[in-house]
Amino acid sequence: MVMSEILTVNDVLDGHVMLDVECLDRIYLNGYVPNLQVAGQVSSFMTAHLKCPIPSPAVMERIGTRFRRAVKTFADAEHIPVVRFGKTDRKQEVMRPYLARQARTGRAGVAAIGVAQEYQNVFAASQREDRGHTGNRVWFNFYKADRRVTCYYFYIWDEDFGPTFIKVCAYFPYPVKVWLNGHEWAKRQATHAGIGFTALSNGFATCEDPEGLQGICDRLGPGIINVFFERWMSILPLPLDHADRAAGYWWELSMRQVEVSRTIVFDAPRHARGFFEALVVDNLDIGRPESVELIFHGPRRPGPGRPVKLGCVPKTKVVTRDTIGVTVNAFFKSSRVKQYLKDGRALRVETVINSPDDLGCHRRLQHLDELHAKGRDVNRRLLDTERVGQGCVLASPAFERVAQPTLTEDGRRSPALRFGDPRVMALLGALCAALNSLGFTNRSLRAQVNQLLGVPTDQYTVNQMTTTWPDYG
Amino acid sequence: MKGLIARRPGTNTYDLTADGQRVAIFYTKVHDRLLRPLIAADQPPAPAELRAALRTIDHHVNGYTDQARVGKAA
Repeated sequence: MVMSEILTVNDVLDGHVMLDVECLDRIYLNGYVPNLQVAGQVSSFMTAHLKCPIPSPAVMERIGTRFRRAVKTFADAEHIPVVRFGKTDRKQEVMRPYLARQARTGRAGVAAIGVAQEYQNVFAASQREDRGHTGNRVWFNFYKADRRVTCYYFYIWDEDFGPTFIKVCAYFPYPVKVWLNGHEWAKRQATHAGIGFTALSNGFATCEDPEGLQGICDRLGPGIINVFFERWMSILPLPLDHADRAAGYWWELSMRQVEVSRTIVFDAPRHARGFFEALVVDNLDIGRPESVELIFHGPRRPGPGRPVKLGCVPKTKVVTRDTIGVTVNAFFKSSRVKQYLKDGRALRVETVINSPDDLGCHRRLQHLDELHAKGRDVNRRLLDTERVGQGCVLASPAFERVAQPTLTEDGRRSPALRFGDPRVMALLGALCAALNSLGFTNRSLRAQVNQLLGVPTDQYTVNQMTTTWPDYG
Repeated sequence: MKGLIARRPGTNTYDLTADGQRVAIFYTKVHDRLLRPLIAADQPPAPAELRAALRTIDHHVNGYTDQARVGKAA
């Protein structure tokens, strides 16, 4: 029995790829003060550092009020618009015009400050009834709880990263979030380096130096992000000040959500949709446990060992949206890998890592490079795993060359060979008969064509055949 | 010649290229064995089921045309 070889999407794409770029996409970071995470640390912050005799929520309130006032002063002094977000607002959409306006100025700056009421995990306090060990002083218990508090979104247009935001919660222990986009960063670096490119929405469509571009994308790491973060933390109003920082109370970054993307741009984009939809149909099973484990962790090493616990219901989810068409998602623990057609011309594969633990990485930002490399492996393994059926074809250029008028090497016009035209069909029928190792000549082929057309030899002349095929004769 | 045939160097003899082979075979096969019989599928020797299905399509299209009152010129 002959086993047919299993083709993967890589085999089909071979020779049909104009640009293949791997880059970090969305980077969403948590900023947290490591030594303000448990109740005892809160007490010692207030007593040992701030020299307050009683650790109390009044201290938190004082810092919070000072921070809110500082934000207002900052906005007034810099003429920055303050926008209050509604419950159902899409923040990015609300802020788009402000970011665009800042981008037009060509200067880095805070485009607008968004104010939202959101649930955050913050410290709450309750008064102890036993009045503590002294018996006569007010004494508080601190505990973590979800409370609806004010958050400030500083929407920034940065020279290196383009549009970003830093969100600062106005309540103790002042959690911070940072949103960045790797493609936006890479676009700016490419421009600085003088590498010409055309952009896809959030990606690259063409590039005159693909290797140089890939080199730029590979460079984005924790160091560059930390420089960005420190730059803006020194400009924005914050609840903690220099004295707090000197005492070791400052934010560190950890990874909340990281998207590692690979964009493969096709050379014949008009066939991309058909190809992609056939690919989806052939690979609806990528979310099965055995497939998804293989994609996220690679083949299991031989020998004993516990199987990986998925921690989720394995599933493939196909989402259809008007804007981007079909998206295939395969879930693994709290992360997923998704695949869709970008702007109708590129295959986009994105690993969305919602918890670095899923890929066996630590959360702190310094481990971003390791997570990035593992995310790229996931993207590669997805393409290696995907099988293709007969429908997955990126059209052969031969068909278009035949069906459309073209120019010969010496500049003469070669008309289209129209499907159904009796002369064309007779000519191609004759070519079928000419399938032999001896080859054929003009004369021998013309005899065949005449026979198939059913006309005497003198009615289909050398000239007519040469008109159909200018090179021939 | 559109990449379908290639001349042997120094001769007037030609060979079919791989592209040419596929185009020649599939153009003629699709034309002769699929398109021509299917275009003439409303008459024998097309299978009775196919002819009946085409009549059904015709019937339904006429039904829609009548309902939309665009069937006859005013």
